[in-house]
Amino acid sequence: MKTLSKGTLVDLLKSYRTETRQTDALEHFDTLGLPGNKTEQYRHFSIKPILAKSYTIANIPNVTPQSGEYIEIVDGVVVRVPDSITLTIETAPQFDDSHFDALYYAGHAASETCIAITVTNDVKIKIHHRITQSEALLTYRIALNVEKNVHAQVYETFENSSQAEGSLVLYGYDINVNAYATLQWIRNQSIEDKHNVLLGSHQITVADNAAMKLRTYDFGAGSALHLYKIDLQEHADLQSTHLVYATSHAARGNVLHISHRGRYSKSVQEAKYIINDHATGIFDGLIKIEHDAKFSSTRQNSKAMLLSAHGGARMYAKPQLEIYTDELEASHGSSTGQLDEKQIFYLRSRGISIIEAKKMLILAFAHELMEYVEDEIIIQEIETAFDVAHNSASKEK
Amino acid sequence: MLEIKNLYAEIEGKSILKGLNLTLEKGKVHAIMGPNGSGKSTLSKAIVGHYEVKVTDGDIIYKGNSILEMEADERALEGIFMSFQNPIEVPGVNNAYFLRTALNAKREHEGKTQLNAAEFLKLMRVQLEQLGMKKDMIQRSLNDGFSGGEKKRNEILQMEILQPSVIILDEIDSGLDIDALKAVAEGINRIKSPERTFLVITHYSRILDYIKPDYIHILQDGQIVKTGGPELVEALEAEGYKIVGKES
Repeated sequence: MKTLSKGTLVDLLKSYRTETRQTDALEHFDTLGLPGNKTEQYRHFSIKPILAKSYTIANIPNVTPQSGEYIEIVDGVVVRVPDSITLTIETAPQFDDSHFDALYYAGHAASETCIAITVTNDVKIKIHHRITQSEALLTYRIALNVEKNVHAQVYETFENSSQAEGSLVLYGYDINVNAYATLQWIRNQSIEDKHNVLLGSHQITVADNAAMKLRTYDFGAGSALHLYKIDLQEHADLQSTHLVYATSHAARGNVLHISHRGRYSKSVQEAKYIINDHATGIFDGLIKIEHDAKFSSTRQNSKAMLLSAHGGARMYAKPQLEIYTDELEASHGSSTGQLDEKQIFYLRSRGISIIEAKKMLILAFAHELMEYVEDEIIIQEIETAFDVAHNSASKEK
Repeated sequence: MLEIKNLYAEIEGKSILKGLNLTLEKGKVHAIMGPNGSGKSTLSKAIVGHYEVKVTDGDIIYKGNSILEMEADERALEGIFMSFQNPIEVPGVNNAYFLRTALNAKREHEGKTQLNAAEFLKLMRVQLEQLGMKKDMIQRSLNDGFSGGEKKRNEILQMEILQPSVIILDEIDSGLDIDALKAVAEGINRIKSPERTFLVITHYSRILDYIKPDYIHILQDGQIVKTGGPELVEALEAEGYKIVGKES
């Protein structure tokens, strides 16, 4: 049981240390150390004040979930589950022992329980996260196991109650996509200003002949960073696409460490960032082709569009390849630019207003990554979230 | 219809138009010819409000009012249209969506109801057929990967859909084979009317075989130095721009 009612993340972990809970996770956390502004993956995220802040420590009540159309998690507590989904609450979840992110271990150590979902048949699951508490530290983990030969889709959405502000949500997934299984994980995350900071630290293993499609859509004026460690076994296939539209003073980003461990493993990574106002975009993608991953292929590309006319928008892109084998195909690239003046003029010369012309070009830039989603309803929800972010951004001429 | 008075304009600090005077009459086809660097394209850009062109003196009067303070989209909504010498490729923007947005912006400006997708596609089908364009072109990205001829036909398609009052054709004939040239010229002739004015900017007389001009203006060193009828084309073909020097 949590005995601390208020404190920083470190205070919370200290209190657990005395309870000798999750000592392995705490040891890993100690080894990596508390992230600061010089920690590579958080360098541009201003993590220090977030971790130094004292929060209300939320107690996780015992709730029996009701039956519902989708999985609903309120402040880290499952309140609704479809009857067809196998969901249990575990007290000692497994974790990866070689994750690069200290907060992955902090999240494991600080989460009293873990939401475990086992997918045993082809299914589409929606997971809706709702944050209702203000100035709170909310930590929870989700373990998702997609069994052999099963084809699943997880659609993840987020909602902040209007009164919920200033909380830190430290959550994350541990995902196993077993042999010959496929998982499409679509995350539609809109965070508006003054809402909560969200840190997601994830670990994904894609087993032999399995496939993972990671489609993330992060829009809005609030800050969030997702960190992924992804391991690809033999003939594993990863498609990872990330669309970010950051506005106001948001810092939004994705940090990925993808390891090709097995032969013939394949990864394609595409990231597009639209950065407006004084926002910051972060794309830090490391792809490692291990010695045993002969005949693998990888392609990585990040493109960013800075919209702020006064130079307030920032993009930090760091595509990296580490190669430890000779036989492979690999390419990577990164570019940062602005809206094309010639294109804007061409549209305007046909009577289209500057605001509409810019919107058309921004949508054109983003649309390719939206088209990867096949579900029409989800596309509509993503487009609506994109519109909200676009309309809330400043309309500089 | 449109009157250019003593216009001085520069691009990146370089003076290009130097006191140009020109009156475009309603319902007439005006052709502007001139050597490279004489200011033909700068003139067309000045009329449509291109961001590169800075007008330093003079005025452009359209429908009785100066348009110099108007943005490019405002000028377009008032009926000024320029067919680009090199139409811009806009990957990701669907051609049909772009054209419907442009048409509905114009209709809204004119107080008309907007066309829905079905009504618009019906209108497009007729125009595509007349221009000999493939139907799938409207579902492709705007000018993206289009051949030179397809781009020019797409410009004419836009012109026919938007029905402007002043049409500037900036080297519409460049890069066209004879079939494409004929199709483009037919499109232009289709919308000729007593209410519509054309300004055809060209290096060569070939396009003028298909679009009969009422006036020929010769532009040299930023000024209109000679104006005449279609007979001026024959003189230019025979002797080149030295005919201007001979008479002046």
